[in-house]
Amino acid sequence: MTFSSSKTMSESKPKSPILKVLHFLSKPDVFFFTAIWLIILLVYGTIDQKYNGLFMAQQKYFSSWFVWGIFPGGRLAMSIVFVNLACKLIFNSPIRFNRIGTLVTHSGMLLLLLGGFFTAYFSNEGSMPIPEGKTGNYYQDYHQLEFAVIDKSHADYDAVTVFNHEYIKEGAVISDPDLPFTISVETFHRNIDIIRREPEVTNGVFGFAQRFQFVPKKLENEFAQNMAGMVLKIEGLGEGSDGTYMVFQFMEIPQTVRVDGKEYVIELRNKRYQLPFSIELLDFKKKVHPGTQMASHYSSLVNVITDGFKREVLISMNEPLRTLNYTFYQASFIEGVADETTVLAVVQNAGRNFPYISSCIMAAGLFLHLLIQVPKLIVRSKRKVEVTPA
Amino acid sequence: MNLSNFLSSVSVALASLLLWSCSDEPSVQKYQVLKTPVAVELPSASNPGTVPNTGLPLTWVVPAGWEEGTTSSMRLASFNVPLSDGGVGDFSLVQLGGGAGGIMANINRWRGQIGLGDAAPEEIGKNAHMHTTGQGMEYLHITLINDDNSGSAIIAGIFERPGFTLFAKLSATKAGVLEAQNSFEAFCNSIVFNDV
Repeated sequence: MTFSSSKTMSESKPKSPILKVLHFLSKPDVFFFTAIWLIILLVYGTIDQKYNGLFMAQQKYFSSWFVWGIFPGGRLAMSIVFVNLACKLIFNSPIRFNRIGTLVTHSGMLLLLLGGFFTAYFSNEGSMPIPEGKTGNYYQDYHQLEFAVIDKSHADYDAVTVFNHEYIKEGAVISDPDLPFTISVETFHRNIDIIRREPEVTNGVFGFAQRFQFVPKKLENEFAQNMAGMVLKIEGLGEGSDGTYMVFQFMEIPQTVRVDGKEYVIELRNKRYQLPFSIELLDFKKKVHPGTQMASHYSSLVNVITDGFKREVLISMNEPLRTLNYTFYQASFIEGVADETTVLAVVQNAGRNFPYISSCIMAAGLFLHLLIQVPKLIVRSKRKVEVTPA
Repeated sequence: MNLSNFLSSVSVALASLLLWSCSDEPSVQKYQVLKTPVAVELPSASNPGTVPNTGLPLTWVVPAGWEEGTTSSMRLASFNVPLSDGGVGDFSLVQLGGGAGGIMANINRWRGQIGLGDAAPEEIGKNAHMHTTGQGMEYLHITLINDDNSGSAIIAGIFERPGFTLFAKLSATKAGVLEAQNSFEAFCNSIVFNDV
């Protein structure tokens, strides 16, 4: 492998078409216009947030590859910035002593963008409600759904088969070799109203769907308030049970079906992430503003249980619990008569250290650049003094 | 390998990695959950006082003597209300989206359950009154009694809220409904909507 570092790409014309593209992408103009486009997206996204809610605006403008059909979305724009910086660093940044600071700063910036990529694709967020005295070992995604079929026939455990959100759409067929029935999704809506059927329907319709039906509803700005619902056609349960069923989020009593004496629960629910440890809520404490019911401070004393070992930790509003790649924030609580339930916000972020590391690198780069420039500045200021008439 | 080929290969590899990471394929995951231990138990009717996970949380205080009853798909809470004659009243708390098909339609449906025919709003209004909870929330309080059928009567509280309607309903004998009226009202008055 031979590298030629004496010349930069700007000094020699590339022959390969890929190199030509990369050469073009290394131009400062690309960064300039992309930055302007990002500002436009930011303005539109901020305004749209007022009308469509934070989550929808974020998805439409910042987490998308394209907006308005053909224009670059936030994700594509940030990728262009990343490629631009990388190409600039590789092709148009000759390694010279007086440019070391700039190179280090650019590297820190690249690392920051790389961290953003990790966060975008490999991080999860959700909530974890735990009543006092109870233990939890999973958290639920705020937005993403999953469809679960739970085999309740085993004495000691439930066998859970989970189908990801790609199955939750009209026309999808949900089946698995371990399941004795097939489910077809007839209707799916992300937000619904449930209304009573008058009169009840029994012909080919089972369970909850006999007495209730749903109507689609406009999406709420606060996305977590949307209640998704599905109408399903299930085959393979046997005569007298095959037919139409209905499930929706937050069902108090889950829908069940029976085949050959086995009971299966079918659930449309927020996606669950299993934790490699469990958390037991020992005590929840709340302080209120004097004369009001508004909480001024609340905290959760928990046991983090890993392989039977318990570690006592206090999670309060500004002191989250950080363990492995997870961060548990004290988010809110549900107050009951007998006991209280804490609600922890859980963030699992593989790129959580990137901002700290890249910030340090960028700070070091800028400091280095300043140090290197100091002698030049001194010389310049001396010259100015010399040429200034007395 | 010269620089040109090396950089081309790296670029194609990075682009492939990016495209791969963006793919969103259907996937099936399987795991086992122990029946006894550590699943997060969301508060439910077995935990009186709290309604979780509805997106619009509310709390209430369960009157003394009321026992947890059989829940069903639509019941946020269910209680058996013991009566002095040995009978039991059936209390349910149900939340439905939007207007839940209309207040009058629901009241007429309840009237049908106790053997009364449909009635005009003016007729229904004679037995309906606006009450106020401890939180200052107004709700429609209605008592439905069929004088020809003392075995079945209904007392209900209807809370109309943005996006949903909450129905508190007690079904019992006529005597039972009259006896449990105070505790029913105490329950309704204790309801607190946390988003207010």
